[in-house]
Amino acid sequence: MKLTIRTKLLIGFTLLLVLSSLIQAFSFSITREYISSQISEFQLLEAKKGAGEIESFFTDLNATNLGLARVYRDSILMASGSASKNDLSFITQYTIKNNEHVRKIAYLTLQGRELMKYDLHGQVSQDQLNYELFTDSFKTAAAGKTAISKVYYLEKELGPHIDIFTPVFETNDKVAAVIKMQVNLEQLRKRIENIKSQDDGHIYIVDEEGRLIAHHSQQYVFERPNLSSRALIKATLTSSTPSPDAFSYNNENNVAVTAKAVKIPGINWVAVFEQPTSKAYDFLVFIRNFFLITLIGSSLFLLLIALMLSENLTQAIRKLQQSVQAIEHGELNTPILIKSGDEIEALSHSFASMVNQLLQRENSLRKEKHENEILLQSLTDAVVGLDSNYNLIVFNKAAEKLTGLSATNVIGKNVDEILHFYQQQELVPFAVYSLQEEELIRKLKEKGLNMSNDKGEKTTVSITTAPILFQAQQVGSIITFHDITQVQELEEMKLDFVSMAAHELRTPLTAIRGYASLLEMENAKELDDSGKQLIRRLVMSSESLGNLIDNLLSVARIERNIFGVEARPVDLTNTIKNVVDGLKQQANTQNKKLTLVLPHELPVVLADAFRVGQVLLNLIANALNYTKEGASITVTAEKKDNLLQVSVTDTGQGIPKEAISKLFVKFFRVSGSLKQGSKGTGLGLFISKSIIEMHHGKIWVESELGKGTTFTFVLPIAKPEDISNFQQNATETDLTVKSQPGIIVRKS
Amino acid sequence: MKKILIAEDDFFIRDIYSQIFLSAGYTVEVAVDGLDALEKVKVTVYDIILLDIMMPKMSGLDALRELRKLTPPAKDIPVFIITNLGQENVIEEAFKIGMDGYIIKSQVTPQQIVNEINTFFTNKETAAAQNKIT
Repeated sequence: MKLTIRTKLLIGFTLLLVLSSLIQAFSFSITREYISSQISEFQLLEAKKGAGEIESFFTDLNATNLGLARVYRDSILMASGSASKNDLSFITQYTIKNNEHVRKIAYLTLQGRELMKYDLHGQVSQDQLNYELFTDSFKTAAAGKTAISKVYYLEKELGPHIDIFTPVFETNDKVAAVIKMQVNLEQLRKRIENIKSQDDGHIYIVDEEGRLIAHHSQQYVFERPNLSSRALIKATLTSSTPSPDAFSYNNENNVAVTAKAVKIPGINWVAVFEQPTSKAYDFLVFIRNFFLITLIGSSLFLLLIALMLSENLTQAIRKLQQSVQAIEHGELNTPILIKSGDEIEALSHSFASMVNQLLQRENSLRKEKHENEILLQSLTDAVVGLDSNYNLIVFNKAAEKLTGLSATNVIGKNVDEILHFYQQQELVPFAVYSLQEEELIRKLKEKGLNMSNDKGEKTTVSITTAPILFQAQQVGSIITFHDITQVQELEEMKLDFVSMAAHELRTPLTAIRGYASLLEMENAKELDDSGKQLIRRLVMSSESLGNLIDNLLSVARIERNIFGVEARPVDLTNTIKNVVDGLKQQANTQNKKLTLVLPHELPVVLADAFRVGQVLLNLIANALNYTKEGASITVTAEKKDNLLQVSVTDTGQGIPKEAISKLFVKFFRVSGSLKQGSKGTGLGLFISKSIIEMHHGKIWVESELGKGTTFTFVLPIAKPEDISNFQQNATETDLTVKSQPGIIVRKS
Repeated sequence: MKKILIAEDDFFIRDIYSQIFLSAGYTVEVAVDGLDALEKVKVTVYDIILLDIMMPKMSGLDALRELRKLTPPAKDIPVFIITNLGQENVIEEAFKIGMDGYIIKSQVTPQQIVNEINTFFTNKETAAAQNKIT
């Protein structure tokens, strides 16, 4: 599931919010419990105050009654006492006057007859006296206990009244009379009004039947409602202990109230403290509202913070992301610093320094690339780069000049589409060229390849290739073309000159040799020995001049690749024998020993017998030329594995080491240490090497100074299929035979 | 007496070959170029012709080509090319148009040429004799 940072933050904050709401709700419920119990306590206390007022009201009345009883006893029953009848009358009237709620006081006999009766107007006349009914309260009082009558209402006055019956004891504790005091309960209202609570709470009193007897509203009392239907009152009347529950109901003004009630002991009246619920729970409501407001407020606040925070965060991140994307697309100069003051800023710093490094690196790379580019473009040799698929990736100015193509047109194209290489007339794809053997490449590099461009212009180039390696794998190559067209042209001119000069030299040379030999033949008899020797020397010198010319021509033809070698299956036994035999006379005259070691049979090789004979002749002639008198020269031919090996060993002075490597280079001659000086042209070994290599053979030399030299060449032995192929493809020239150097005749 | 025509533009070489063949017992006639040689062949039947290649007016190879177009006996006269050109392609071309031998002048002595021609005739006669017997 993918969530944005904003969503995550919002989810986090929401969880936090739910948690804090739960905690708030919990603490609110505890607070409500507590406050509710506090309210209950308070209401109970108020109710108890009401009850206390009633008790003290009765206590006061009782005290008055007890006083009256004492006076009555003293004045009436015990005439000898200190108080007189008049005192009783006075005190009684005084009591009524001073206590406005005391309406009547009557003194009764135990039989219920009124002895005296007082009201607000004084003593009631005798004829108006009557009998008291034997109510329970009267009976109780007659039995010696103060009793209170039920609440009753008078015709004239609206308020409730009670009668209090108080026994009068004789000295021997015998009830002698009963005092009946009629009390207006109006007084109770005044008493309970004083304990009016600040929160619009008030106290009202109901009697044991639930009738309202005291209330702050006089009018309401006058209505004489029975409130026993209120659950609170019912519960309190039936129970001895105050109910712990809080009761709520709608009162006479239809106001929702909460109330607590206490039963007043003795008279079973109930004092109720009632309070408008709204007032009672004001604080609780306030607290609840406070909780709600803070909850909503904090929710909004958190939400706002979450939004701001996420906006802040995501904005920074978005900015960073945009910058990074821009950088990703190569706009390295995109500003990336973010002033968010947090980790993102730190991150942006890191990015910035990274980008900075990238920039620096890029700049240095660019600089380097620029330098390399300049280097590449300023090279006079054409440089071309290829990827692993031989597609062009680099094409410098010199390459443009050489090929006449523009780099922009050829980059990305395959090298063989653009550049065509020819070895002689044969097209050589570059991929083929690059896979050639090292030796061949070296030769091609020396001789050059013909290259033609799209316009057909031809140039001769020497190619150098270098692989581009990346992690040890070739991912392309760099080719350098060195234009050797002019060099080649010069070389051609040189070869042309050599050919022409040699040919022109041959004609007069032929004449010289011809005349010399005519002279030798025809005038021999007339010449003395010194004359004969002179002619002999003339012949020999012209012969060596002829050899020199022949060698020069051979070199020219080798260099032009037109030096003909006609390989055919041949047994070289006769060729070797003939060459050695031909030189035996020269060896004898020089007093040198020339030995040929031949096995019974030599393997057949694919070779041009005449050319191989030339090589052997050259090697033996060299041995003869470079050895002193008495030296021995051994020619050996033998089969070595799949090769025919021919070697010429002499017992001469040997070849210095430093010369050996240059021995087969044209025009090189060993000089210096050789006592008899240098002979020859320095072409013989070059030609020999070329001939042997044209046969796919090898030629080499081993030499030790003072001991001698061995020249060895090997030729591959013809395979049976070579021989049969050759016989099938016999051509016209096979009809020719070389009878001796310089003469070729048709087979008869 | 064998009759030989030596077609050679160089005076000295012509002189040498004339002398050596004369002393070897041949009847020698000379031509100075290919055209001259063709004229001579049309009037005289030679036993052999020595033909140089590099000659003015008509080269030896062209002359040989023309010769082989003629009617016998001129057409069948053996021809040896005597030249200083040693290139294989030239030799091959000469063989194709019907030469009987190819001699590189600078590499042989005049006597060797005479020996070669003598051998050529000897071989030819031996072959003819054998043909008669069989």
